[in-house]
Amino acid sequence: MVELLRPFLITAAHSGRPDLSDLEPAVREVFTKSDLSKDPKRFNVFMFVLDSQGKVVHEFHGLPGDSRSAAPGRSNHQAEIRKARALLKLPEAIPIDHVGSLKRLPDLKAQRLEAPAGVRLFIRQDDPSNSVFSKLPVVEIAAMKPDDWKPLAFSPNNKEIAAEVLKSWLVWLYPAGIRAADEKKPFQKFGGTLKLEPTGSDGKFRYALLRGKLTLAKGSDTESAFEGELAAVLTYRLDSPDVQSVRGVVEGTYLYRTRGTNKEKLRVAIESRPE
Amino acid sequence: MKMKMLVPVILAVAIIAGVRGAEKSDVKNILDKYESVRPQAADLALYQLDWMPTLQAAKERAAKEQRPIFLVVVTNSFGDLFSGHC
Repeated sequence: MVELLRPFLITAAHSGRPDLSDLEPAVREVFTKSDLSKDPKRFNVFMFVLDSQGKVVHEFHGLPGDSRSAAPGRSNHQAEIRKARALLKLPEAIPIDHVGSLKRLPDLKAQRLEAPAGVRLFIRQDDPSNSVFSKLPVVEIAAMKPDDWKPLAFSPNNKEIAAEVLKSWLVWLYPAGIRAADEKKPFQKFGGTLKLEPTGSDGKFRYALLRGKLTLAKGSDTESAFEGELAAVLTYRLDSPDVQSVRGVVEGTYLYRTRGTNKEKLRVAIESRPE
Repeated sequence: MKMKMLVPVILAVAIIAGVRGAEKSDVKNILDKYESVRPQAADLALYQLDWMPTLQAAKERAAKEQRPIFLVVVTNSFGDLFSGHC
């Protein structure tokens, strides 16, 4: 799929409003003029191919369909992209056996030398029966100012850190594919106490473990929530209490409340950026 | 790319070598878990592609570079396909 899409500039737009007023005007024009938007069998994902002059040359429904049958409102993505490539007179895509530069991976640039610019989180479902959401990661970044790191400063003694201190990280702990209404309301309450324990030095850096339980809530018990545990290794320079790097994980369950509660296990890797 | 992938491993080894014995297994466990949970490059292949923040920006660059555009529209959603939260 990556090779089929390599010649293209990729862009995406979301609309949460019935009148599409939150869509970029150029996108709204493409969508409202399309036959897809009027198809009674449509779902909510649509794909368009435009030529280099911005003219739509092909469109198809975005939910994946089986290659053997064209289910209404669904498409075989690879077949449709190949059709589009033929219309654009693009050469045959050649599969390559290595992964190229991840140039668009969300990242943070160093602002100051004293502390990382923030953290990057990779969020995936931990569900062997759902190979798509378990393999494809959500990638989010949480920028942090130097003062934001101060609660995690090195201490020779154990200290307790309220989970709320890390809310800019924890607000991302939810899976892909949840209802719009659920996604629209972020976590409001960040419960739990983490322990920051120094663990020694190798002569170049000092180290500490940050661990503890987390309970995140959007509101009442009828709204989605998260329960889990965070464990991370923090490093510090010998001559400074400032955090140098973070490597850690969160494992837990998103309590997805629609009609009843679906328990969706998540596993999250956290790393400070830049390296 | 290989060097970039080795850096977390080298960091992990250095960290484990330096900590007190009692916590060595805890540090190793956490770093091992981080390595197993963090996606591999192949899982992140979509980020090799040229993503643009808006259709307008894509159109301007498409005209300059003579490249086509692939647009995904998701309705009834407040998500962000680029991050994967959609």
